[in-house]
Amino acid sequence: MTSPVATPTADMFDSPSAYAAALQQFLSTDERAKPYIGYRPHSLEDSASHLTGLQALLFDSGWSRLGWPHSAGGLGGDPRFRAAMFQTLWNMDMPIPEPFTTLEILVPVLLVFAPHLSDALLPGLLRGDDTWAQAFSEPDAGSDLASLRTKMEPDGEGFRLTGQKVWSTFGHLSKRSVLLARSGGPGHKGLTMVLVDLDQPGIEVRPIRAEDGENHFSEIFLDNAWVPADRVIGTLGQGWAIAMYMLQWERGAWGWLQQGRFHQRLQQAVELGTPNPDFAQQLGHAYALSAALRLTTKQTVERLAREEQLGPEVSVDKLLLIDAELATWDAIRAYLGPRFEADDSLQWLRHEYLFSRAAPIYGGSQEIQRTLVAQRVLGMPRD
Amino acid sequence: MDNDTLDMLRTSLRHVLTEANTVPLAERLAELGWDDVVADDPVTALHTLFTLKGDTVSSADAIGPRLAAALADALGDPQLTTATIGLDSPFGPSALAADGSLIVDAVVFTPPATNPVVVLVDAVHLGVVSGNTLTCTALTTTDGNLAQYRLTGNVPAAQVQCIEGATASIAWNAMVTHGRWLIACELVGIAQHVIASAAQYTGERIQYGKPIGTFQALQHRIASAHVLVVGAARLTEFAGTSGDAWSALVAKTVAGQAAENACTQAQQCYGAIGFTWEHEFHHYLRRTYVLDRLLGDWRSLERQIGNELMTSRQVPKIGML
Ligand SMILES: Cc1cc2nc3c(=O)[nH]c(=O)nc-3n(C[C@H](O)[C@H](O)[C@H](O)COP(=O)(O)OP(=O)(O)OC[C@H]3O[C@@H](n4cnc5c(N)ncnc54)[C@H](O)[C@@H]3O)c2cc1C
Repeated sequence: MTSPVATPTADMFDSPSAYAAALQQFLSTDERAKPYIGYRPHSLEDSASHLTGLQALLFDSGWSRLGWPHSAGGLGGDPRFRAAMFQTLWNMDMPIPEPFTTLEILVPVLLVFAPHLSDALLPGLLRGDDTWAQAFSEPDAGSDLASLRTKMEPDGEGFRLTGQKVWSTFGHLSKRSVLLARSGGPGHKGLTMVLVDLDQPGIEVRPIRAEDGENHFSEIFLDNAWVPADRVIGTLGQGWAIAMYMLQWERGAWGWLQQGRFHQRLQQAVELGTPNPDFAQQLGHAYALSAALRLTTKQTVERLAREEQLGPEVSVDKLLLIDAELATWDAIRAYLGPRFEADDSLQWLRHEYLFSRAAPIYGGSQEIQRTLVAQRVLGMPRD
Repeated sequence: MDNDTLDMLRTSLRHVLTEANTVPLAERLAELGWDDVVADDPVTALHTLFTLKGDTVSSADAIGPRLAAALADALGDPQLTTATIGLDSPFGPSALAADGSLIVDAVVFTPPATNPVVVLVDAVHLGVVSGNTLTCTALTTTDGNLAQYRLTGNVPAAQVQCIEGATASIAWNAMVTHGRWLIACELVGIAQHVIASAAQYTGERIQYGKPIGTFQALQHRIASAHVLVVGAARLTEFAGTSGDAWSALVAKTVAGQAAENACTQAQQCYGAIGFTWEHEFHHYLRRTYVLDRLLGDWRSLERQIGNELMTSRQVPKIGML
């Protein structure tokens, strides 16, 4: 069968939903999409290499270029198109290639603070030729990120980086990383964000095996690593402000992407399980929270699309995500019964279950988010 | 409705909901030109009224007339707009006897006088009888401020009008959907009030030489409660615009849970004063318990959702971009 649409552009569709319907049509009829429908990876590396094909297909056929500006190799339209693409992939039971999730967090920042980088690099990133990581956390700087110590010192036409990063998602599979380093004095004001090449002599990347058994993230050792001056995102000392800007995407748009996963996995569970009223309330609870997350993050995505500046209220999205994620996976595990722990064919689902345990930790822990909501959204007093 | 109009509407509704006045709410609203406001933008108007009703714990009967209007509308029978809808009674169901007489046991918010009363008999039968064929007894409930009455009686077949089949079930379900949405709005109004008021109190009450709101234990209780309230608010807004049964069901589920949880967490912030009749809090707690029971409490509704997912093997999505 041939693909029904030539290159899609934003003005071909009245709404992101219309785009989603056309994309669904494309994915369900084009032979090239077949290997990705219902794909169950054996390992993270296996999945990463297999899904590069899906990324290339979506890019070459134009679908993943919607929702990104023309200047950066996109085909126009607001971020709702990206959100609609994620929803469509989940609807089709096609896994979202991990680089898309990194893109969703990092690229909106580049578009604003370093357009020369997004213009030059977005197409390769979107197509999957290039993969990026995010290197903020350090062994001694977790929740208290502003205490990070990786040193950034001027050297000729650029800077030298020395220090250690940790928990960098997909670090060992990435060519470059957005990194937060200390270019000045102590505190927030001394921080700068850069885009650094990981494949250079001054850098060693070591994968770390996560709870689900996969090498999900990495340690990055920097010893006089080189970063050219044009790889600074924003200006020197602006790193913290940019990291805060990033949060609206990391906490808001991310939630929409994940609710698609929860609905899809609940769908898997009701297809696999045997109806049993004992589990009705737990499943109903998980569904209700996922639905609440869906509508809450839908509003956030729509606000981002209108280019509204979102504030601390995005922490509400992240907290709702945590509640929905834990409830959804607990309900699935309970409903599928003892075979969940033992059935060979459910290994992929077990891995996702185990991974869900990270929800209250990454991207600002549940405690940190609750404190933010209490103080910045509800106006409770600070010490 | 533009923002200025909405602000004005809020101000006058707040006044109507909180003034000491025994004239029925429907009549006082009519004086405001309420019918035109509803006709013009029913979703915003009703959402605003019921959220404010929750916020003010007003005891006025706003829901009764809306249920009747929804049923009359679904049945295409304008006469029923003056009806009183009998909701499930905790003491027993209404039933049709073999001889066609109707055994009534139902709960209402306003005595029906001589108006028609509609009760659900089973999934495909509604019974309509005149209010003066029934005994009306005031109920003592958890919430003494919100009047509720039990209607009982055994009405002979000749005085019973029966609505049957799909007509009956479609109309009753439409009424339930509308009612669930409105009660969800009210529960969200309660929850938002309780959270805001507890957050404010923790900024004022000093212990150990500082506001108790600086303690993370209290901050986290209120923040986590707020999160569910935001989810409930988004679901409730959506249920209003879409008008479909599934989103109203899910909205009321989350709203009931959010309000109960908000009360639990807020109460802890108040300490002993929140446990007294000197404080407004207990009104919100009581109202939450009583409202949650109407048209399905949140635990039952969660079970209903779960059973629906398991047996249909379909997980629907609420809301598209
Ligand atoms: C799966 C996964 C992927 C990740 N990906 C990345 C990535 O790509 N890039 C990156 O830079 N980082 C990444 N991280 C790191 C993540 O951002 C940190 O784990 C997180 O910020 C918490 O830091 P920590 O692990 O050092 O925990 P800690 O800060 O040591 O916290 C431990 C516990 O103490 C609590 N705590 C700490 N401070 C407070 C406080 N002030 N009040 C109350 N409680 C407090 C925390 O809530 C937590 O429960 C990832 C983490 C995970 C789990």
